[in-house]
Amino acid sequence: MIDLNERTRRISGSRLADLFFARDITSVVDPFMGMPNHLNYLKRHGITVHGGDLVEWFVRAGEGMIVNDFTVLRDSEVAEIVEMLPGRIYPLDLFKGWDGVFFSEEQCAYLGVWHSNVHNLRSDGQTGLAVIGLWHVLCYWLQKGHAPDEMADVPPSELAWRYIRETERLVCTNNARNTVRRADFNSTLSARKADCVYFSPPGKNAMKKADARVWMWEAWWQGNPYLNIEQYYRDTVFGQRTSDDGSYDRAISTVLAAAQDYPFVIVQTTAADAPRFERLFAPHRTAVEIVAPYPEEVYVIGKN
Amino acid sequence: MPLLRSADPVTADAVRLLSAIGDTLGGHGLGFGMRVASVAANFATHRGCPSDMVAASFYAGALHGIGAVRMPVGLDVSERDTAILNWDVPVHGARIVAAMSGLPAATSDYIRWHRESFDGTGYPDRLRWNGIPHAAMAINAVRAFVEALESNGENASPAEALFALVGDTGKTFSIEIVREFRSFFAEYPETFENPADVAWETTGFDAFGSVGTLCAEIDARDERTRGRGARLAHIAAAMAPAAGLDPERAAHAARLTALGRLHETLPGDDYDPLSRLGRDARAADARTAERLLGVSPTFAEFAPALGAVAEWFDGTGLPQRRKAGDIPPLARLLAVALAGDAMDALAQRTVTDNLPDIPVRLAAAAGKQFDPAMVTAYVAARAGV
Repeated sequence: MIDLNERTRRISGSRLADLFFARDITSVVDPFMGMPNHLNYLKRHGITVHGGDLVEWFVRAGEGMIVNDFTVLRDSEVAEIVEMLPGRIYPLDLFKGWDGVFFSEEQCAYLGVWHSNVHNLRSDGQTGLAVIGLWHVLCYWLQKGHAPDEMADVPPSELAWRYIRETERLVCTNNARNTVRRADFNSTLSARKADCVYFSPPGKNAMKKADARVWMWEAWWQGNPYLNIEQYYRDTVFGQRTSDDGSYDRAISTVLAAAQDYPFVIVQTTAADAPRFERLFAPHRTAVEIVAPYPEEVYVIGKN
Repeated sequence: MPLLRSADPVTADAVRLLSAIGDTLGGHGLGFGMRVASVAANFATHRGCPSDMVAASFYAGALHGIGAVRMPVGLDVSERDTAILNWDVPVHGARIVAAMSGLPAATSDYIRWHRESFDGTGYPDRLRWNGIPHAAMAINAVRAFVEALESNGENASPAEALFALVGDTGKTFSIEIVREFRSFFAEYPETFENPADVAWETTGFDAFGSVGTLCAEIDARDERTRGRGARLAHIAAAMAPAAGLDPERAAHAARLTALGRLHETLPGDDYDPLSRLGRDARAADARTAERLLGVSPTFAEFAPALGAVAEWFDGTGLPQRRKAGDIPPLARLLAVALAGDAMDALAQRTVTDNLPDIPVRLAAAAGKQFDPAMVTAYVAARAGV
């Protein structure tokens, strides 16, 4: 059984929408988007959104719910994802490394089947939706490992069907071109122009403490159960040397400097860290405002 | 009825009425929201929450459905699109409640996130795991429980309703919240629904203002009635002295006429208000308003008048065919004001050049549809306004 993080950041698209509408912000870039549910909410409400991340499955999810305006997965296509197709040879032992450690033999076999089926999908939009749906299955299984008697036993294909069908409702259009890219913050910020940069900065040593439900899904997407996502961040400003305050502050300052040309920068943090960000904003922004609905949900808003 | 210790009775009554509006919009029976509020407050107390969280849980439970008032009506959209539109109901509710002063600070955010699911498939934000405030998830659990209890009707069994939660453990609800609810349920098998005793000083809560604001939202759902409450209040207040009524009371009653229009489709105003066509729809609106106002003692004094605005002075109106003096004076006043406003709206939408002026047409209906004294008061007030 693997530990699951106790704390989860509350990235609320509706809260961001309230902040954006009050400031006439109509487009946003999030260079550390993670699972881009918040961007999907903003897109659905007419904001043009652009996102970036170094973890590829986040970007694939973004292709499903951010870039994709029309493509959904029909019942027959979902069926082709969740079950083995006759005549196809599947890498059933691809995730054998997790067998008996995190998952059962049957679950590992399904992970191999799904990996193969999803990689054979025809469009990026469909792939993204399938990645999102199947990720929920992985999360369910890991959660069930913690409370096996309290959560319902659902056959893998049925669970996958339910979660993939559910993603269909994420598909929407805002009559604008929305983008996601697998890139570091510099590339993302220089590639697009928008009214606002929003980000919830990675914590100190965040890569070493990544939630199992995030790194395991990247490992699944890459087809390598031994993958370590730390390597993605090794050459970035949030790489190995952000464990001390000075290095971390320099990393944040680098991001704020790269966002210099954007009219607004909104950083989501906690009450404990808000003074730090306020100080870091000072050289880059003429006006800084704090919106603090909760101690664990504080927005530092810098304006030019 | 749940108790609101320390809350003034007018506030408590306003919350009851607002909750009943949410119930109607959500397709629930009257009292559903207050039942959720009561169980949510008891559950929060059982979890050892501080008094402000208990109070916020109570108010969020009571008002969780009012966001539906901002949903567009009469749209011809697919089931999928309707479901997606409904994702915004909690956010609308949060914004409406945030604009009301005097309620506990967390109330609006509990409403905002009370439909999030633990597994990240809820709405509006698709928050997941511990990113969802525990109290918001508790309200969702209570809502699901009470809904399951109601859906079983007379055969309602709390134990079966509890299964609605247990079956969704790890999906909609976290394992912890289900464990806590089961312990709450086991500890209070008979009394878990007893009225909550919520200690909260609602300072600055504008009871009539909040209800009036929501009534304005109801009017705004339909282009034909947008801003109607304010217009009616203005003219009703101007008419009231001539009719021997209190202007402030008449203005409140005028705003409350919106309560009758909590439908998906609003056909009543498509007809000339002086014709008998659409009379059934107008009477149904009146009955709806009367029923809603009946849940709240402070506002119940308006119920008889609001329920009789579709009666005709000559006794041929609906729903009860009451005649002349049997119709409350406030109802007679509102009947003229409503008709005048509907004719104004109709004149803006359609070509009515061949019809006489509105005062002339109203005067022609005096003694039949309207009280002649009220028509005189209306014409005078209209000229003054």
